[in-house]
Amino acid sequence: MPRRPFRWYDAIGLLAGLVFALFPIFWMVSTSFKPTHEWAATPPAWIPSQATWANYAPLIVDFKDIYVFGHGASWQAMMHSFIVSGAATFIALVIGGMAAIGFSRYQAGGHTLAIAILSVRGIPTVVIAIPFLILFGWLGLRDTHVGLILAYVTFTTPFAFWMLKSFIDEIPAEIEEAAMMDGMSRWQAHFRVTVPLIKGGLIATALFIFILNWSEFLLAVVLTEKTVFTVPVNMQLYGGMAGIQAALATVAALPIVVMGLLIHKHLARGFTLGAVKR
Amino acid sequence: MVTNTSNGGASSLGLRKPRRFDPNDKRIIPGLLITPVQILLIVMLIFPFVLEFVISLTEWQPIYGDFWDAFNSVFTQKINQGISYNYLVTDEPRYLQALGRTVIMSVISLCLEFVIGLGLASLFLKKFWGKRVWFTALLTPMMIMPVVVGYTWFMLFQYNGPINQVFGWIAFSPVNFKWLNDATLAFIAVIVTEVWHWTPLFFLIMLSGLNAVPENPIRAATVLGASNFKIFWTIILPNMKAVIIIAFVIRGMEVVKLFDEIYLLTRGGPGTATETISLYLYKLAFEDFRLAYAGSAAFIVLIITVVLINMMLKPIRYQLVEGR
Amino acid sequence: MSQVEKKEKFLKELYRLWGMHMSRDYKVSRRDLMKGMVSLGLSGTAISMIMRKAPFSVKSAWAAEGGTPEERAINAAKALYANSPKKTVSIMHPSGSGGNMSPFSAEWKALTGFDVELIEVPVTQTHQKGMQEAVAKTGRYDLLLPAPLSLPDYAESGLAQDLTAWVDKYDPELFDGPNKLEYPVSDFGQKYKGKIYGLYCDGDWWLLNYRKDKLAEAGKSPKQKRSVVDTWAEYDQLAADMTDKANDFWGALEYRSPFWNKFHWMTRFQSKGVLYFDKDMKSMAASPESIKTVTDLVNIQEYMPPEQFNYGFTENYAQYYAAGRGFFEFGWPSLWRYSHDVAGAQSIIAGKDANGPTQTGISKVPGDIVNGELIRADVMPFAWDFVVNAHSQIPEAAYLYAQWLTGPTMSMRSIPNEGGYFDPWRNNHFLDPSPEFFEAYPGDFLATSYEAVVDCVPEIILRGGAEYHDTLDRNLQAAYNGDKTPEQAMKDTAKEQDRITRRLGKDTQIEAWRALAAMYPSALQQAAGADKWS
Repeated sequence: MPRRPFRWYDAIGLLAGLVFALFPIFWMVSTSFKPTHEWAATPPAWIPSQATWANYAPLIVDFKDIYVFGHGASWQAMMHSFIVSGAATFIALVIGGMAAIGFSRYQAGGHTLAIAILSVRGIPTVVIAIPFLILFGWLGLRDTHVGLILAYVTFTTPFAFWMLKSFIDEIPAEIEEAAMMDGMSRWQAHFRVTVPLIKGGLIATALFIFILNWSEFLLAVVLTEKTVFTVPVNMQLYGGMAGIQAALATVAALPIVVMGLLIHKHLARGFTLGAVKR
Repeated sequence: MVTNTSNGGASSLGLRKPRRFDPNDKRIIPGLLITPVQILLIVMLIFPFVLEFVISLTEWQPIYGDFWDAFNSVFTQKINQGISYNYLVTDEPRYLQALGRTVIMSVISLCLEFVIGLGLASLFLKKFWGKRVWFTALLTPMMIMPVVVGYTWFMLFQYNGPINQVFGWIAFSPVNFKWLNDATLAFIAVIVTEVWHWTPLFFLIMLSGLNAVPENPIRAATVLGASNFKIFWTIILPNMKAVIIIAFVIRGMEVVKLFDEIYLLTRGGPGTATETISLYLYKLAFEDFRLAYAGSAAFIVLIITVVLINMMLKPIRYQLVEGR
Repeated sequence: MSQVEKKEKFLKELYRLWGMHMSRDYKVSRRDLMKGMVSLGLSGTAISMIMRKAPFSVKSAWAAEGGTPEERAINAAKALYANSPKKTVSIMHPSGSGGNMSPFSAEWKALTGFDVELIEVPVTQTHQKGMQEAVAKTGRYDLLLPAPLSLPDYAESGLAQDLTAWVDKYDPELFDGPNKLEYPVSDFGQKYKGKIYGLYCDGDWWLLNYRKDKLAEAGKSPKQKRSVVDTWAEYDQLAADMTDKANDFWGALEYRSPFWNKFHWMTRFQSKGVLYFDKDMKSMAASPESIKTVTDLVNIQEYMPPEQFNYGFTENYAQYYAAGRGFFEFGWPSLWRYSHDVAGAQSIIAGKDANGPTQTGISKVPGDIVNGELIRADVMPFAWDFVVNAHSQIPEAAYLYAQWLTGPTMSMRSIPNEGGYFDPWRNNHFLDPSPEFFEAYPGDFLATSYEAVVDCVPEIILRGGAEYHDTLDRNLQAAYNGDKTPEQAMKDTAKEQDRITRRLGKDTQIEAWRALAAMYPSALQQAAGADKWS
């Protein structure tokens, strides 16, 4: 499309967009540095009069305000989130990746399977949370890492499948055929040749799924107590303490934003399940 | 260039060994590759849905006693089967209201996201200073986790929060909107939050669509003296049709799931003013614990979503599945 | 601790509790704000306060005597420890109540060997976390700490363990003896259908606070020693008289925001000698008495601040009562603790002398004359109960912990503790308070509260209670805002409540309702004819 000159009204539009996009983030970060009396001051304090790190303290030490409060220091929540999200991401990648190879190379399962996997994406989480609660009770999986990981794998495998499929589709099958001529078995051809070739895509997919797992809230609330508690669940224990929540939110958002920016070229592909390439 | 392997492509190269079970056998390997995902689907999705369906046939709530008694009643007391489905129609206008509200909310926010996203994307076709930085900055909201989005906007929408303050500056008098306590304003607040969160995705998709629009027809039209609007309507839009459909379908699937932000902003309140279907089901199932009834409501939602998804996917199904 | 630090801490607690209720969820937390504020305020005042005179004899300290409930609990738990399959008592508790328990965990471990694990959930999620456990049956919690409103649901779903046998065996001294809890509060918050399912750790009936300086200025005096007005008509009249709109002083500070408004209806309506339902569980919300009540409640809004439609306890207290802009305010016990608090700062009414807060008077809630007799119906919203999880591996040890913590001596120690929000409930709290206890609840409060307990009436503590409450709440809200006439609003309420009853099974509900009605104060029972129901 031909380039047009950048006019003053374009600048205004851009500025409005930027303010709209960044103001809430600014407010979150700013609140995280506000001393207590400015959390909900009237009129609101835009910039903390005395910036303080105090709101970040619950990350490292137990929050003790007279009594110990919450489930202990929030780095534990970060750790739980990290373990659960990481494991779930890995499993989803393996399962989804295998299926992606199967579908991309052999049309295994056919359109039915592909669309069935896709449908999972559109089902409201709460619909499946109801049977999950009962099922996990029977299996003794409630409030365990394994249980939460399983639940997350169920919801993110579709992303892994579709995103990886779109990357694998871009690798010509002829390369694998050539490798097999050199004496590789079929499995080796798939996993030693194709997989390394989509390394970039694999990392993008992994990060993308990790972001989804890290953000998940509803299943974590329903399926866990205290043995496992993820970042979003931990955050609501500080209900109303805007500064501390903002601090936790900032810390929780930071790795995700960095990851997201790292893979921003693939974000469109991830969210559209590979339908839009970049 | 994408090449799709047809079934015949590599067959002659397949190594044949005399073993009965060969994991490298061309007839076996596809099955092996998709076995894990099939197990996952059956155990973690199909089975729970069957369970949910069975529950929905009973009258069970935890306060009526043990699940297995209710389970047996499905087979013994034929009269009560499916009574939960009756309640959906006879007893609970909230269910249909929540469905309708979800549709309205989705349509409004998707349209806003589309318009804003397209506008911003067309800006980014032009050359200006710091483009990369602004581009990244505009994408950031999309990467903030929903819970954080909820908390942040909750702060902003406070009675004494910055939004009222800014409006007060504009109006030269104190503005006291009760954003989250007034039915209409709360609805607007939820839509604003949703638009903030997901416009970047539309922006991203629209930008990739715009970049793919061929230049020559536009040049020709400009030479012929066509107006900007006409060019947009007759050349750009038709060329972006596929991308727009994809964006709407994908976001449409997501927006009906909207839960976290509303849960933290309004909890569906005031009254039921912002109660979407996800929130209504959550309240039924995890606050009132009317599990059989929630199960039946959820099951209908499940059927609706699966049917809708398949309908919506029709136009882009080929593109998705064939990877082109 | 410096004054600045204290203030920061106070504010932190305030915002935490404030945020819990703000528009997101009106379910439980406004009261907790109050309680949090109180506990914080206490830390500030306790040091500087000099106690001169107590109305009751104050023991210098409570020595544990042989054969107390605490000792029985300790001995039994010690015996259980060796063969116990689980060595930790896990307690699900609403966030904010940790201060009443965590300081004593080490003591419990030293005495019995059992560890204590506190699992905190947001106040608004206590009920649902319990019900999730009822579905999943994991035994992750041994004890739960819900409000009495949850008891019927917990009991019917098999989550709450029937404690009757253990209460007989270990005798927590809840139902008799000098340290008992007065009937009927002892029963309607702990029993369901005649069995014991919960042990109180918190008492919460309403009292009426008023500005005694303003009353004296107006040349008036309280009707009786602990009752500033006797009837609702007098209350309405006094509220009208005290209102001075020109000077922004308001006669009544009632709660009109979602969730909180219904308690006003409950207490006013039932003092007319009518209960929530009739003998056959037909809703009485549409009765003439109810409509009269709603009309009165709408009319008194004339003497309430213009912002009242959105105000619950927090806003009314912080912005009106404590700022010296209001005369009457109904409230939970903690309001008293808070209103003499100097560290709470923004209060121009703060300050304390021998009779408690200098400017706040305390009174029983008004009543109505029915058949020549004055009937008060003092509603008790909330309070917390210890419930033993039936799916727990160590139900008995869990019960013993609850008995230990709620025992007469232990509760006396834990209630005035900072950082929690339990309030007095046992008789010895009122009649024989320790110095620390009296410091927390000075002046006339304990005596008034003790007098009021016999008038205490329950919320709708039935299966599906939250649903009954919810419909009442929404329709009253509509009536207050003028969206519906009182008649229409109450007719809708009755219709919806009857529908809930039908859906939940009429017979079971009637049985439970009659059991609940039998636990009303006898004067009210007779006025409503409920004494002849069964």
